[in-house]
Amino acid sequence: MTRRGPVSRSVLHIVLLLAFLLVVAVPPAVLFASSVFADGSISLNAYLTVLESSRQWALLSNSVTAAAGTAVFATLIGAAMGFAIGYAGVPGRSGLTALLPLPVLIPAYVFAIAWIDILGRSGYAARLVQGAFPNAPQSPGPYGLLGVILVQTFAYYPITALAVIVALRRLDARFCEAALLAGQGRRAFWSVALPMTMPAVLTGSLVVFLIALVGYAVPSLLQVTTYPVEIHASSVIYDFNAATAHAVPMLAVAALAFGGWAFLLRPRYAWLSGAQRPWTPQVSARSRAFASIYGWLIIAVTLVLPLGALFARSMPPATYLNLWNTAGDEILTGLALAAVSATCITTLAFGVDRVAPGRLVPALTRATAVVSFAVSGPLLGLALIVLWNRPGPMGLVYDSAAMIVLACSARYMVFGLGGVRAGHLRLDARLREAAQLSGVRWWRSLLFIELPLMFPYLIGVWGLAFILSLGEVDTTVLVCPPGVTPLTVRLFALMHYGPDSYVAALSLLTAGIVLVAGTAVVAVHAAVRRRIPIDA
Amino acid sequence: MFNTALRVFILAALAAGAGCSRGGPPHVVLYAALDEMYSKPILDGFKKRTGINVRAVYDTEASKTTGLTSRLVAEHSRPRADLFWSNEAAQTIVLANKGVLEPYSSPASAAIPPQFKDPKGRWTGLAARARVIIYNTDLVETPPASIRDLLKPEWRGRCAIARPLFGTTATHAAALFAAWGEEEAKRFFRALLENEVAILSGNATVRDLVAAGEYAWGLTDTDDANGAIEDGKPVKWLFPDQEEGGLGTLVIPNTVAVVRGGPNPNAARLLYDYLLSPEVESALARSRSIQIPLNPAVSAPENVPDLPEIRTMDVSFDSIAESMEPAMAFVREEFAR
Repeated sequence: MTRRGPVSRSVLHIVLLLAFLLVVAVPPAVLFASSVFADGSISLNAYLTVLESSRQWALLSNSVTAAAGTAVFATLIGAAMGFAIGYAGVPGRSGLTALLPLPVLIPAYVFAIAWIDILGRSGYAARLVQGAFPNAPQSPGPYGLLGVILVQTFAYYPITALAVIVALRRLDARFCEAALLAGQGRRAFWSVALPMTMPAVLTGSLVVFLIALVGYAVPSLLQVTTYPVEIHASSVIYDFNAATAHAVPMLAVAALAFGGWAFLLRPRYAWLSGAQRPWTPQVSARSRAFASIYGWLIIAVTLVLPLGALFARSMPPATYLNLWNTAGDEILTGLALAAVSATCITTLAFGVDRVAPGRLVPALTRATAVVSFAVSGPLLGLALIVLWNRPGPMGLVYDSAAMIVLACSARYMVFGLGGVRAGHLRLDARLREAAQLSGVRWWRSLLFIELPLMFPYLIGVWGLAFILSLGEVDTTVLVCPPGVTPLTVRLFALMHYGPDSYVAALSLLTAGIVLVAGTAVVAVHAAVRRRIPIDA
Repeated sequence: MFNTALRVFILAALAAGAGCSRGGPPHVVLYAALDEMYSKPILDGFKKRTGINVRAVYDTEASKTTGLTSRLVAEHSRPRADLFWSNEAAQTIVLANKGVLEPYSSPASAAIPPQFKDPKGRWTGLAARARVIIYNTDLVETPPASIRDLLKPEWRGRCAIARPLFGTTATHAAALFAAWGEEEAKRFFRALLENEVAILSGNATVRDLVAAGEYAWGLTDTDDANGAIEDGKPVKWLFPDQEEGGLGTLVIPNTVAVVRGGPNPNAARLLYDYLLSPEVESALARSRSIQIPLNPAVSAPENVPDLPEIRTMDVSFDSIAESMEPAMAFVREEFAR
């Protein structure tokens, strides 16, 4: 009896690690392996041709500038927003927090179209300026690198803002209060709150950087050639090896960013250790008023304007009814698949992070997940085809909607692992040790001690994975089985032939659905936290 | 409450997996690049007539019809599709030359003019689109008449085309390489860049930005242009280069092809025949995409001349496909930013 626990645990560990390898690690490995095998022999020609091309510097420059510019500006705007809500405690902060994630939920491509409507040469802004100043020079429109940075910044800054808000909730108020009692109001912010939330700021920046680095739709629409655009172009002429080779510099940039983040963050894990008493905003009325104006102004510019432009496009109101009649099935299918994908990501991330021993294996699993994310959606889709489209059981999986779940799991596992790791680091190991000393079986300890304590984090990871999976299209379009059309595939199909109003209405509907789902997740999260006082 | 939520979730998971169900009623797997809003009613008609269910996979504007062709190439060792319905011809010919497609001599293809079908029977054309000039009526008084007008100084920075690496614009670029020869075509495309012609992400974007007044005019396809007109946008369109002895416009048919080694070959042939029927061409002609019928027995949509009345480019689709690789290599190098 005493040996059954460890043996079954070992089996579970092996199964989890194998599942992780199959879902996340093997697809990009297959891709890179097939790119170096040409006609039965090993060849690096595809890589040499691509890397020796004179265009590499232009591609690298465009990709890094777009991603880094987006990360810098999104961090500046997002961190300020996070502090306005979480530190200054502006009036109506619940409303601001609820509205904050919406820009991330609108597909970036649609968001870019909305900004062209606003900032384009004949957009609303240009018409306003021309009306007031008829001789004013024509607006250049949101094109080029600056346009890409602007559109992506406005779409992704909530990621940094939300990371800061979460970190501030964990901030131990005693530190800030000590500074306040010493009569150093500003120092409480600059010397305590800011340094202690810096890991969250850096994490938010990294996530924005990675998403911007692998994004295809916005640079393509705003006429900037980045690596994802070039990878797409290589795929067009079926030069899959060249496409894979183009992914290598992008992966190197992602690895550098990830390494830099880990290096900067490593000594600062203290922020994860939990608050004895959460921070209650104690800033001056003037600062709060300033923070309030800033918060609502940013929401107006980054949310109300593009949503307003989309709403104007979506008229007349009958569009919504017609849309439901024609795309209702796709909406439900998209929701179901996103829910299943989010559950798989959360479960696998929790399991793998729990069983990965030491420091090296967790680091390797995260690095593998970064590769799977940064390799770009279309390439990952091709890798999944090569891997799964085989006779036998793998073929059965390939012919099913499970491929969409596998695609989303491979792409977004990196975020699942990150969120779960944060939870595991905050878990009080003494509870687990006490259970072990009391002779509680490992699986009972896992199910009845660890899992409930991790529940708030798992709900957060599930919510993020659900949102990301709902918006996935690059990989899904290559692997979705016959007869299954997810929501985003329908949305992108409408962009070609569909009336403008349908595209805008479906985008708003998507945002609305995710807002409802997000609100439900937050409500469940809050209910669980009330029952499980993990943060005291 | 929790149990109810759990039950709903499990049902959702099962529903998600239902797409994989094998066996069941007779079916055919179709990879369709033509948008669902036009193809689905036609496929429903096929099911009604034959009782065969069509399981379709659709492409998206984001992947510019290349998602499905990439998938067909990647699945070549174990094809999952029975039939490929493309909304253009060049990629289909590339697939045919890669051995992905199987010859089929359909009786329904007899009515299609020979320039719109493969002599080896690996694909047949139907319902075509044409390349057109779309212009904003608020910004343009005298519309341009030729694609060479893109090079005129008065239009500097005011015109747009889609990136000639995808979809029908890529086919158009390859057609110009075939019609003019490589050197002249390269000079033309370099001159486009010098004249600051905007290179946009797709034909739908050209349509949208011309309609929005971002650009005075541009090149797009008949279906895109008609969509803007039906939406009440201030645009009109015309066929370029229609003068006597002119270059003519490129007419690009939809193509239908049987996938070699597909799991349901008989059903695939039935659907192939059905898609080439006058009934389908007529439905596509009267849809929002105003596809031009290739079968002489079907009349053209309103406001579109019959095919023989349009001056078309004098190039074969085989020569376009041959020019595709050098054209794309040039375009990738020149149009990188």
